[in-house]
Amino acid sequence: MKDFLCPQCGAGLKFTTSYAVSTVCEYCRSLVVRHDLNIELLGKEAILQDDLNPLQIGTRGVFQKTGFVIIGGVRLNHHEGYWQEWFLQFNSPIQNSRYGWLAQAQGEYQFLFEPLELPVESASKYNVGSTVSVTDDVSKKLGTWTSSLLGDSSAFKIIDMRTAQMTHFVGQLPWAPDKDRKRTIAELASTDDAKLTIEFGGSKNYIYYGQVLNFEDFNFQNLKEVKGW
Amino acid sequence: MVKAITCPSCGGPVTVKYSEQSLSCVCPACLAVLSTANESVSILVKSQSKKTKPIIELGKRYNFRGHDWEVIGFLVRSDKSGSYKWSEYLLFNPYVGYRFLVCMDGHWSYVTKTKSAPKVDTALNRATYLDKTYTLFHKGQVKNVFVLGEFYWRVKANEIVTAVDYINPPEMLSLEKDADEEIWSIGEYVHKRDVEKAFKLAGLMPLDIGVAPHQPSPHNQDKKLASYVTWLVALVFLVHFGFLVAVPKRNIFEATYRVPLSTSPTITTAPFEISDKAGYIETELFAEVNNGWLETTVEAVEENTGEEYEFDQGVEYYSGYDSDGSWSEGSRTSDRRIAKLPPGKYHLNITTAWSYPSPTTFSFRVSEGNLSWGNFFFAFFLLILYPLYYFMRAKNFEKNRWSTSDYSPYWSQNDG
Repeated sequence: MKDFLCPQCGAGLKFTTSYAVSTVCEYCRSLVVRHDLNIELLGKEAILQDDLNPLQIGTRGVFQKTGFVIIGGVRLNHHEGYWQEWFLQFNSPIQNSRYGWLAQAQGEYQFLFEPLELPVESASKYNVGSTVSVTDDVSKKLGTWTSSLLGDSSAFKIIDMRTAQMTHFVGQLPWAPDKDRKRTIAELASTDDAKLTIEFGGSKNYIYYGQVLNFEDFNFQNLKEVKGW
Repeated sequence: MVKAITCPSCGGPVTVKYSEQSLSCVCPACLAVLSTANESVSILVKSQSKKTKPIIELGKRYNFRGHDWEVIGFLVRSDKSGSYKWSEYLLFNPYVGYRFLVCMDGHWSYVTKTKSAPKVDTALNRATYLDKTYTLFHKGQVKNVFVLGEFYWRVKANEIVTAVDYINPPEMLSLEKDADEEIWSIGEYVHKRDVEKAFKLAGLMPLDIGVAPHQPSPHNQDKKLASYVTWLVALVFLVHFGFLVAVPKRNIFEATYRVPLSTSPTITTAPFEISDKAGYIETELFAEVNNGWLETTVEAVEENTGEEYEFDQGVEYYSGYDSDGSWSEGSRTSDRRIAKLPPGKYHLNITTAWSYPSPTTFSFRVSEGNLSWGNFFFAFFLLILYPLYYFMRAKNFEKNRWSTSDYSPYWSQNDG
């Protein structure tokens, strides 16, 4: 992998996986995006005050016997709080997913596979209670994750919808961060062991799928110590 | 991160201990409910009456189910009318997340949000979660009556939400629904002893009243024993009928004698064999007595050892006619069960006595391989008592459980 230097301070930038497109300079906190050969400076990232969160960049965990490591993260704000999404680099692909996410909200931990692309549709077409139709191709791919999703359209009913904005970035991410972009996130009813969310972006829509697990299930290592606990 | 704010209602200081995650909190001085999600603190509920003191102290940490939990929030909730109230404690651990400890009528539950939405079957009034089926128990409306502490959501005081409870003891699956969201949680019944110990509540525990919807039946422990006993009853049956088949009753001696007219003469019978078969020996005496009796004294003599076994056996029979019609008393036959005689060759010395006029003949029969039905029925009824007792008590418990439900499977029986 080509070495990139921070355009701001000249320090070496960390890109540990080819899926990472942006990173925050560890020294000067510059937010940079790489294009094929050159590097673009987007701005400066403030340090995120997150004393209560035991997860951090470098935290390792396990999902389906495959190890992963947190290499980046993003915080999203919505009108009733925020949640955190951690970008995961896998030791080896898990069920054809090259990378994944760990979403963390209200003390809940949700493992998410690499999202699948959906046809572009406006979020305004949908509201809580409506059912999202997915293509056969996507349905089949989801079916390999959990067969209970096959032919069960009730799993794709929207049960919660909120608009969120990215407010903080840390480490590496698979896309160019954009704080101005608002995204609508729809949570689907899902089935027993699966959890589905749809992200209505500007140019692309994605369906995220995965599973909520207990903290203990991930067998986390290299956690950040929460002071007083 | 501890955040100090000023209560916009009373101006007093308010400390939000876990401000990163708490979206609302209660001013300890004026009890106003505040929204702390944004930089500017706003008032959600101006004041609260009905002040209630939580029995578990807020801000303290307790070890429960393998984790340290800090009690950070307290809610008193009620049904729509406000007449039925219960309390909920919000537990927090920065690693593991949030749990609730709920106390209803002195019964405790340890509650977690479900990991996905259960599937509801509205036709059958059931919900399925992780391959387990729960039965509808209660549908109603819930509101917060009083809150203290801090919360990871915006507390909606006095706002009514719809609540639906499904049970599969010792678990309860609950849905809380409002215009914005549906929140499912799963509660596990916790024995009050465990709560008392973990949360150091000696002397503070409320009395538990009635049967909680998801309280495990105390008869579950007896269930095993009851089923063992039921198997035992079946076994007794099997053994008994096995004997009936394997050891058929067999007459080993039978003879009819003329009643000897001399005083107390003794008849010596022909010899017969008693085998080592299971079952007891039965002797049967028959005499054609009419308004009289015949008594025998029987001496069974083992021919090789000379060992003697003596017993009495008699019949009496009376009949007549009076103003009520004909009557009779006694019987012309009598059975006598003999404890098992050692196997061997026997003859009987039968000495008779009788009333006048004497019957002309009497018959004597010896059979072996007899089974005691009395023993069987005695064992059967004694054993079956326990499963029956268990069944009645277990059913009674279930009736009590469902007595507070609109969806009781016992309802039609109770009212029908």
